[in-house]
Amino acid sequence: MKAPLRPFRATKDKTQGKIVKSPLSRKASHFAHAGYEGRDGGQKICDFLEGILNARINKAQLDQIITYILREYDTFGVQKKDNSITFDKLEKAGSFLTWTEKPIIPFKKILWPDRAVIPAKAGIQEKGVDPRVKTEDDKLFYNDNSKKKLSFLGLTNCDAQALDIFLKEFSHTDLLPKRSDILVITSECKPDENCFCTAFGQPKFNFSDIHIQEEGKNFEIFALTKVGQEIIKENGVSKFDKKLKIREIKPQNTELLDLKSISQEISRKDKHEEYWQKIADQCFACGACTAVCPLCFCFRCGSSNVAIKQCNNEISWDSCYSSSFSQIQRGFDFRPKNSDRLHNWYHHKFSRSVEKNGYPLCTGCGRCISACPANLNQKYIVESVTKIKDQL
Amino acid sequence: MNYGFETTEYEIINKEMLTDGTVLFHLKGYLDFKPGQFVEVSLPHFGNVTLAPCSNSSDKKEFELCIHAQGSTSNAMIKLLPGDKISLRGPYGQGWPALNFSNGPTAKISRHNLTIITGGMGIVPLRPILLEMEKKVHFSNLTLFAGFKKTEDVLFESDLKRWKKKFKVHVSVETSSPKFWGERGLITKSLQTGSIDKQTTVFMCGPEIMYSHCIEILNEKGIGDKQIYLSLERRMECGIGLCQHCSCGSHLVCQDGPVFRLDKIKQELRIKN
Ligand code: SF4
Ligand code: SF4
Ligand code: FES
Repeated sequence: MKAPLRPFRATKDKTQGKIVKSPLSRKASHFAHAGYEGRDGGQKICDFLEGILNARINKAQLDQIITYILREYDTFGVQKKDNSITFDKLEKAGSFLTWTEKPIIPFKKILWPDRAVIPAKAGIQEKGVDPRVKTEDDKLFYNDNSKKKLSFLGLTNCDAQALDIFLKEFSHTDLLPKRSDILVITSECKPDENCFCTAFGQPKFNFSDIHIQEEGKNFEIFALTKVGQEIIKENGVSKFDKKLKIREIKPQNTELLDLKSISQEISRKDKHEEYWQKIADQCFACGACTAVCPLCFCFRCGSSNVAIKQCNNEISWDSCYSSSFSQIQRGFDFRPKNSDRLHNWYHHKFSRSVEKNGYPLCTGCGRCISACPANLNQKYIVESVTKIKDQL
Repeated sequence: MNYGFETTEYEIINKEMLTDGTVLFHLKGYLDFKPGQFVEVSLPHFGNVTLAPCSNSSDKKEFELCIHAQGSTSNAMIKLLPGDKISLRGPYGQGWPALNFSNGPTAKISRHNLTIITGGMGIVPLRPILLEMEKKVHFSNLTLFAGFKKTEDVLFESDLKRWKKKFKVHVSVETSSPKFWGERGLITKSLQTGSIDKQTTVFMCGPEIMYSHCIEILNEKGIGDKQIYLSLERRMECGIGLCQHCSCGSHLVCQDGPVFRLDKIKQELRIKN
């Protein structure tokens, strides 16, 4: 077979990822994980695939638990709506997916809508306006108006991990809720052809409070934290079955990423100009990859014009691919070319973050690959950085 | 709640027109900043601008902000009048490194040698240092190279003239009017001809293009990258290390900077020969 002309293009493999439902040995789960491991503050809650409490339950019991959560929490869930998978307000227990796919738009749009007003007392006010006056627009940040606690249902494990990291990035402000303020329930995921969560090592299951997987007509439920345990107990399940184990995730794309050398090579942009230019030549700079990525959070600060007498500080989503992203006064731009901005995306995720935090800002969910209209394969691009010499 | 974006209001008590389009606001209140740090000023209905306070940081009663009208926000801002209020948040970032002048004997103090190089508005974040050094009775080992485009662009002229009495001050202007009291030509010219101690510490602030030329001259004069500190200008939005607008190589300018030691960021500077 001839080598593909455009090496960065995604190969469109139509075969869906099959999950091999095999019992998993404990050893495999302790595979060194190069990605993000810890919970808030690095404190691991549960490291074993059995959970701290687990049980086999039937549909009625599951519905009871979900109904309980719907009553107690402000619940958002992954669900099927008009034949597509979305992440939205969950109204009834029946909509909860026990075998889940990831919605293309991740949880970040719930935490933080397109334009979010920083509550008035933190914002700026014109003369003569009581800074405590709340307007309609004040309710935007989730953190600020919800009386009930928040719960996210049916996330994939990689999204639960991403949620952890996302909230950690913002933890030095009160803009977003803390991870401990959100109940997270993951379901077993159906990897698609673009998933590569195992590229950072076999992922751990310590990002959610409860994990659920199907077993024939029944379900296996695992409490991974105290909060999860309480909820399950509350609903009459308290037996611990040592034989039950969380099934490993088996995406097709399993080639490990060597983060250390990737981080190093990405930071040497001047040595690889040609490589980045070649990719940029194919990229439309549309920013779709940044919009769908659960770990892209660039934003702009501005000032809204909601009313003549009042003005709020607001922040809105931005994309590092937008042409003025690094522009300063007099039109001077520190990243004038798309190849500069494109490189910055990879640099932030796979170099800056690896250096600073020890993990990449990527969980391998594959959304960026699915969303790219230019058919670029971000995983392949990252992988190839370390092989540039052979390639060019 | 700490949203990380809380602003504080300060009243303008005085306004000075420094040049055409450059205004110095005196604001009432104490801003606890280190020279070289920056603040984010918000103007309702317009947006934010990033400014560096330019008064003596030990002044507890008032502070000064110098603003040059360039975009729509700064153009609107220079129209503000005494009595109006300015909302700002900060200060953010790392300022100029502290020079250890405290409690040492006189001899030790005077061994310190500081060179300050500024281009245009670059003098603004360094003015607090100059004002502070001016007060140190036993210290005069400071050389200032300040460059401007035209005679009319010279900022803080009365300060410069006063500092000239104590320090070595070279003010150079690219196109000067005949009666100008300083030097004529590019800042690089006076840097080349001026004498600089090899042991000096250099603080530099100006446009990036100036950096590349000045660094070359300084290196030629035997001043190593570890002796040179410079302040980087990047687009700032949040100022608290989240929005990523200010990223520069592996650094976030709003947190790790804006002042960097040259050897740490040389790779990121667009040094053109
Ligand atoms: S970079 Fe791509 S694969 Fe990684 S988390 Fe973001 S969208 Fe998912
Ligand atoms: S989605 Fe693809 S084309 Fe669009 S900015 Fe990202 S890499 Fe470029
Ligand atoms: S200004 Fe937002 S990260 Fe630096």
